[in-house]
Amino acid sequence: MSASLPPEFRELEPFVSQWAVTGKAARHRRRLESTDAERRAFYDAMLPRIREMVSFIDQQPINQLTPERHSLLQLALSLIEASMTIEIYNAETEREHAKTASLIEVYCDSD
Amino acid sequence: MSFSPILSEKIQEQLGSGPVASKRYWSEEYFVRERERIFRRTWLCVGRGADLPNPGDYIVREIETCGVSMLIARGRDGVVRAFYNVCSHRNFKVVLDERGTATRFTCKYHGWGYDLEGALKAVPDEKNVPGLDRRRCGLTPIVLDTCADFIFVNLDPKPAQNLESYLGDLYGRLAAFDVAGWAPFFSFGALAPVNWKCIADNFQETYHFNFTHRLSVPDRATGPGNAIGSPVAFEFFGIHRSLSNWGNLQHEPAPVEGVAAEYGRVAGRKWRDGAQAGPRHPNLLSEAYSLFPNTQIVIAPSRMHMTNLFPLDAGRTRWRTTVYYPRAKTAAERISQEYSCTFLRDIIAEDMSVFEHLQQGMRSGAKDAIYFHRNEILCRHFAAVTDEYVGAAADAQSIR
Repeated sequence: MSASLPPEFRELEPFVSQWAVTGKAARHRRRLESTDAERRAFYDAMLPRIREMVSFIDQQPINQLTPERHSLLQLALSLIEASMTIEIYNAETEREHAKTASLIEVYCDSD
Repeated sequence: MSFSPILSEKIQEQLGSGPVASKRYWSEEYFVRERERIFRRTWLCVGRGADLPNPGDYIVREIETCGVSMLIARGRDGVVRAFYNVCSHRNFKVVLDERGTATRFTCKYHGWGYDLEGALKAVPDEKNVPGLDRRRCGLTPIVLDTCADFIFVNLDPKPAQNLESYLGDLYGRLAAFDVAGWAPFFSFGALAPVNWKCIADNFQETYHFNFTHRLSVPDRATGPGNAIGSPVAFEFFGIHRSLSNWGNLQHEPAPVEGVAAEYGRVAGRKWRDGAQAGPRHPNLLSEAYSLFPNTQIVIAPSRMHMTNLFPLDAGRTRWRTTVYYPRAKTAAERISQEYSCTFLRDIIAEDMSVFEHLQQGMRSGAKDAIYFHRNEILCRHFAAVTDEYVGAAADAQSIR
């Protein structure tokens, strides 16, 4: 279960339950299961804060992050999945992606 | 002006330029010869020592092509060994999960136990197993050797060549990779309804970039002066081969892509001068080495990935790609890695979308030959080497 975010980033709290998840496969699944509107809302809220977030997380060593900073990192990693659907693909090609991506098995995941 | 890598006339001449028989991509008879003459006899790259870094770590790899389940374990002495994953008692599979850490391998069926070096160490009620000689009932070893932490196995108990001579000039190239301490980050794959050589071919040409990857690769690995993304170089290492990908230095990244690239530049490395890389070029993006028969290793300054192909039959292939990075020390570095891994996975998913259509077309028998573009010269080389191994060179000649 994800902890809530540090006070500096409280406005991103509504995105935690959907996007702050562990594992690349899980973040990919969230992307595939989300709507175009959900991805867009997440992307638009995250993008203006991303550099600030990363500087904030990096005030602690990466293997000793507090749960709040760890949730923040998971949001940042999920932003990457969401960005693929907006910056690289469009609604139509994202549907094509979802079709082939459903065939992919994951053998070894990152955190 | 179009961009073309330099290719020696000698290679062009040796490989010819005519159409190539398409039957080798769907014939079951050809596949049986590949299985017996290639997969059972050559050195197959199956991973890296970094996949099992500590004593007691193990991985299981299925070489489905030959019906072999293989257990690879790092012993207490730190040495990596490979075994058939088969118990001496009733020939049950000893290890049923895919990876882990153990001090002993105990068969789930009747409890016979083996140590990390493969010796039989435990037999329940041993006095009632007549004729048992423990020394002869260890796990059956599979020939294994490593080059620069890449693990190779050979199902031939007495390989015709040792690994160093099999790899030839590639041996020194792999050994020069500056990837010490890099760890597996993400590993994924699928069972694809396509001949294994079609997947290999897809990954060793860039001619498909503007079409299969129409939204993702263009302007990144194609661009001004190189509209079709021709490699900056092709190299041939006997039966192995490589291409060096061209990157567009003028590419304007999208917002998140740009953030990841910025973090990558801070954390990342440059191509090391000297022996590591192949031909140097200002636009060098990555080097893609195709190791005969079924492995491709792609190296960039801060990412490496390996793809292994194991055919089940002429029309089905299990493929697996594993991505390796240096361990991220900061969130910024972690984000640059996640971006690069995500982008790679999505590109490979695009490649997956062509496979079934390719096989259906070939299998229909409508065409008896395929044509190769200049940029597909590695596919042509691969076809020639495969033909030679299966003894089909004469058949292949007849189509020209």
